[in-house]
Parts: sequence; C-alpha cells; structure tokens
Amino acid sequence: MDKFFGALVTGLANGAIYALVALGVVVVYRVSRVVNLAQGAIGVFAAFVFHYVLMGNLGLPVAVATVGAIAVGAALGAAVEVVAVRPVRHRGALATLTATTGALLLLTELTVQLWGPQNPTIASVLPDTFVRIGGTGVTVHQIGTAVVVIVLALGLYLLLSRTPFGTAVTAIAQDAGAARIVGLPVTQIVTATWALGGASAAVAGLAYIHLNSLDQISLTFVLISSLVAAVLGGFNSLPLAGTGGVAVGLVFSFGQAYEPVPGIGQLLVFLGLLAVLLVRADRPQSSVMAEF
Amino acid sequence: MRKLMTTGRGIDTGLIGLLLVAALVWPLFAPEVAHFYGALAGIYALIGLSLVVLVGWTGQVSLGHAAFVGFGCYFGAKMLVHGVPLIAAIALIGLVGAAISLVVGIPSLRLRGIYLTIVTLAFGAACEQYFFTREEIRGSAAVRVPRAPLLGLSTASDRDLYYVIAIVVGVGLVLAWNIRRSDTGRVLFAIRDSEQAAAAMGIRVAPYKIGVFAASAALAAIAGLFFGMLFQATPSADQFSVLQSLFYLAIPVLGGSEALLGALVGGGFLAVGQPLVNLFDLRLYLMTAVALLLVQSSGYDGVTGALRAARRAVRDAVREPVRYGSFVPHVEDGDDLRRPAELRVGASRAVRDRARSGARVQVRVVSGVQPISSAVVSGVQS
Repeated sequence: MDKFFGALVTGLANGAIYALVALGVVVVYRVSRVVNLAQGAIGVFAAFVFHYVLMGNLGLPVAVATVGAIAVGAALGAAVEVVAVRPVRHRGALATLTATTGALLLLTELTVQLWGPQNPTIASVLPDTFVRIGGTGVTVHQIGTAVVVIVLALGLYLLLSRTPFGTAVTAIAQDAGAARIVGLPVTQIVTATWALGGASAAVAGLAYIHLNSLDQISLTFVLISSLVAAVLGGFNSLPLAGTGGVAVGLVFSFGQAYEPVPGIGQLLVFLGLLAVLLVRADRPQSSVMAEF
Repeated sequence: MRKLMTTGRGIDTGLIGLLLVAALVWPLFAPEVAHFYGALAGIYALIGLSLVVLVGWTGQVSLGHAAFVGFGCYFGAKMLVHGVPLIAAIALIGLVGAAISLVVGIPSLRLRGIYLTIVTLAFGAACEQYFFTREEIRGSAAVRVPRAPLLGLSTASDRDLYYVIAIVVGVGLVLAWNIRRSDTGRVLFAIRDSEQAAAAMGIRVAPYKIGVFAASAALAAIAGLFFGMLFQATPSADQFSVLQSLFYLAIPVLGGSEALLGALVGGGFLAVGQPLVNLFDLRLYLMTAVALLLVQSSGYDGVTGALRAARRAVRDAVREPVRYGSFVPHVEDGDDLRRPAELRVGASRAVRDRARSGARVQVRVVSGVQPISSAVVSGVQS
C-alpha cells in the first residue's frame, strides 16, 4: 500500500509538471501554429541560471531568485520566437520545427558548456519538510508544486478565456491576417505568448529539477512526456492537455514502482502514445495540426 | 559550352565528376587518422541520405533516427559475430530497420501533422532508456565487431572500410536519384507540397509516407551496421540518444534537404567538425546548433541550396535576356529535341511537335512575368 501511495504522490507531482509544460506548448501552438520543442530546454536553462548565477554568483534570496529565473524563462521564450522562429515563419512548418529543434540543441548544449554535465541539487522556495498523508510521507514541496501548477493552469485558462488578451490570442489562433486587419498588435501578442510559455517552462524546470535533481538532458524527457500530453489534448484543448500530463506522470511513476527496470517509464509512454494514435481517427477536429 | 552553361547542366556534371574523383583519390594522400574521419563522414552521409529522403521528399521530420542507427549497430554486430557475410547482413539489417519503422510509422503517418516527430521522439527515448539497456539487445558489455569483407573487398583498414562505405553511399545515392526521377518521386513531391491536393488527385498518401519512412529507417540501420564496424565495438546507448538524433537532423539542414548531395555535404561537415571543435575545446553539438540556426535564418536550403542559387545567378547572367510575353519559343531550328528547353506561352506548336517526336518535354508556363507552374508533358496528342 505504501508503494501505491508513494507512486501516486510522485506521479501526481511529476504529472503536474508535465501538465504545466504541456500547457505552455499548447498555448504557443494555438497562437503561432508552431510546436515549441525548446520548451523543456528553456526550463532547464532557467533553472541552471537560478542555481549557478542568481543563487550562486549573486547570492540572491531564494524568492527573488525564483522570480528572476521565471523572468529569464520568459525572456528565453520570447528570444526563441524572435531569433529562431520568426525569420523562418514564411517558409512553413518544416522550417519552424527545425528552428525550435535547433534552439533545443543550442540551449541544452549551452548549459553543458557553461556549467558542465552535473546534476545539481537546487534550492526551492517551498520547504522540504515531510507531512504524513494517508500512511505515506509527502514533502511540502511536492504538494506545493501540485498546488502551484493547478493555480497556474487555472490562471492560464482564465487569462485565455476571460481577458481581452485571451480574446486576442483566440482571434490570432483563428485567423492571424484578420486579427491584424482589426488592428491587433499580432506580432507583439505572439511574442508575449511565447514569453508566457517560457515563464511556465521556467516554473516547471525549477520544480522538476528540485524534485528529481537531474541533468540537462532529462528535461528533454519531460518535454516528450508533455508532447504526449499535448497530443492527448489534440494540441488544442488546455484541460485535456493538463489531464494528459497528469496521466503520463502517473503511468511513469506506477511503471517505475511496480516494474523497476530502467527506462520502463519511457517505454510505457511510447506504447501509450502509439495506442492513442491508433484509436484516433483522422477526424477534422483531430487534425488541427493538418496545416503542418 | 554556352548551352551547357545556360541549363546549368555543365556546372552540375562538372561538380559531380569533381566530387567523385576527389572522394576516390583523397585517401591515397591523406594520413591514416583522416581515413577514420573519412569513413565516419561516409556513415554520416548515409544517415544524412536517409533524412534527406524523409525530410526533403515528404516534409516529415524524425527526431528518433539515432535509434534506428542503434538497432542497426547492435543487431548488425550480432550478425557479423555469427559469421553472416557482410552483403547479407546489409540486406537483413535494412529489412530489420524497415520492420521496426513500421511500428512507429503506421500509427503516426496515417494522420496528417507532426505526429511522426512526436512519436519518433518518444520512440528515441524508449530506445535510449529501455531497449538499448536490455542485455538481449546490446549484451552486457561491448561486443567486438569483426570487419567482415564485402564480396571480397577487405575492410580491415580504415581506408578499405572508407571505400566500402563510399560504394554503399554511392549505390544509395543512385537508387534515390532514380526513385526521385520516377513517377514515385513526383508523387512524393506532390504529397510534400500539399497532402490535401495529392489526396484530391487520388493519391493514397499514407502508404507513400510510410514507405519512405521505412526506406529511410533501413538506410539509417545500415549506417548503424557500419558504425559498429568502424569502432570495432558496440558503443553504449548514449551514442544513440535523442540528442544524437537532433544532431543528425543537422545533416540535411546544413547540407540542404532538397538535393541528394546535401547528405554528403552535411555528413562531411559533421565528421570534419569533430576534430575541428576539439582544437578549440568546444562541444560539437553546440557548434552544430549554432550552425543549424544560422543556416536556417540565412534563407537558403543549406549549402547545396546556396550553390543552387549561385548556379541560377550564373545561368541568368550568361543566357540571353528573356522576352516575356513575346511568344517567341526558346526552341530554335536545329535544337536537339531530346533535351529539355524552356518554352514561352504560345509555344504550344513547338511543344506538340516535340511531344509527337516521342520526346518528354518540360514545359514551364509563364504568365506575365511570373512562372505559375511547371509540368512535364509527354506524348501530347492533338
């Protein structure tokens, strides 16, 4: 039973992070029709800046450094859009996909070049004190991560459905040309959305590396899990992508708990993705990505 | 000569000839350490060819190709250890790669969109973390891979291996070139440009995409076989990681994904890049990423794309000015009618005559000052 609860808690905490990255991917995709493969790498880079520069070199307090890291994430998200994606937009989806792949490789390698291939244990604003819930130990950080993600996801949802900014994003998602004619600052809104995606990636990176203390490459796996979650949501629906993220997290942790073989989580996620794609018919609403 | 220049054919023939001679001659003068990188460049070119075919011909992107290279390497090592002749191992490994690709390709390529990219990412991660750590696949430790001869051609030294790989790359290029010029090639380009339009013409899109992906995986697996032979051992799983797949994607991007030769250029670049970056204590992946982004933003389709643009500039400078709307066909009396030539609107009689003579006529329809479409007409009646 302990094993079950342990897997449940780990799965929910990690799943919340996948959900957050997936939400960032979906928001960016909706507004610009680009799948941002650099999303995970942005999170890692922001977390490493947090650990080595903001906390290490500058010695800032944790709370300030956290805000700084989120700002770095937002800046990186916007930078990927402006530097890598925008110049090749007119050349179609293949070019933008390659551009974000390049950004992924660049950011991942830059962290290795700058800080070496280490697995730092990074600090967190949330304490690591244990609380006992239902016969299993849970850290405040794990609960906090889940709460933060739920709050952020709800906030994102409200931002996109209830505010003028959200209406503008929907307008651009439906017809960028028409949105421009109406007078919306399309370019700026697209960049802002990428910054939003980058900021959410930074939150996810901070939380994930604190939980798992992993290296630069590991967030590529977070990205893969998040992309699978986004596929579950048809790359369009925020609630479905969020649910998908949690589901992937649970599959991962239960796989590892009950069949402790290296890589079992990745295998299960891959097989799950195949199953989802096999049952998915090529309906019009499921082929939102057909413009690719 | 002027004629050769005006079609750009002369430049092409000269370049390819030069490249061929250079590829065959350089190992005779280079020091031994260069042979290793030459063979590595050949392997990268093979992987590059597999990606050029996939990316350039169908517009699909695979971010899990290193996994196919890995399967080729591990299974190929098993075959060679058990004394399977190299020529049979190449064929078998190709089949194995194609078979594995179907598991990934069939569910994702039925759908339009970037599902293949996501599934190959997940596949690459599953291979790196699960399959390649299994004892049944890699073995508990590195396996010594023998350098089996190819139909009597020795592969004992790095130089011999280079020549054998060069032959395989050459065969791959010729095969790909012929497929590209066939009806299948034209169907593939139609699919790449617009799946909807291709489907509307009655083309069954999914089988073509799945087929190309299988061919691409087969090539990558064969490259993996030679990868093991070059190192004479089976490397660990991180040689076939997701990151490595991203690195491989740089080959068609740097070399150019439209032209088959882009695979050679990109592969050579990455292989030569390794000793070069070691000098400056930089990471190859980092430099590759920078180069990839620079090439992307340059607007050219890699190095071969830039060369194509240069060739067009030379051709435009050499040939006589175009008289748009003048209805003067570009065919003159005494022209070799078997050669393609550009025609203007109103030149239908010339087209008809040439088509009747049994030639395949390339027609570029010009409206105003903008070419609006190109087509190949053959055997037009009326």
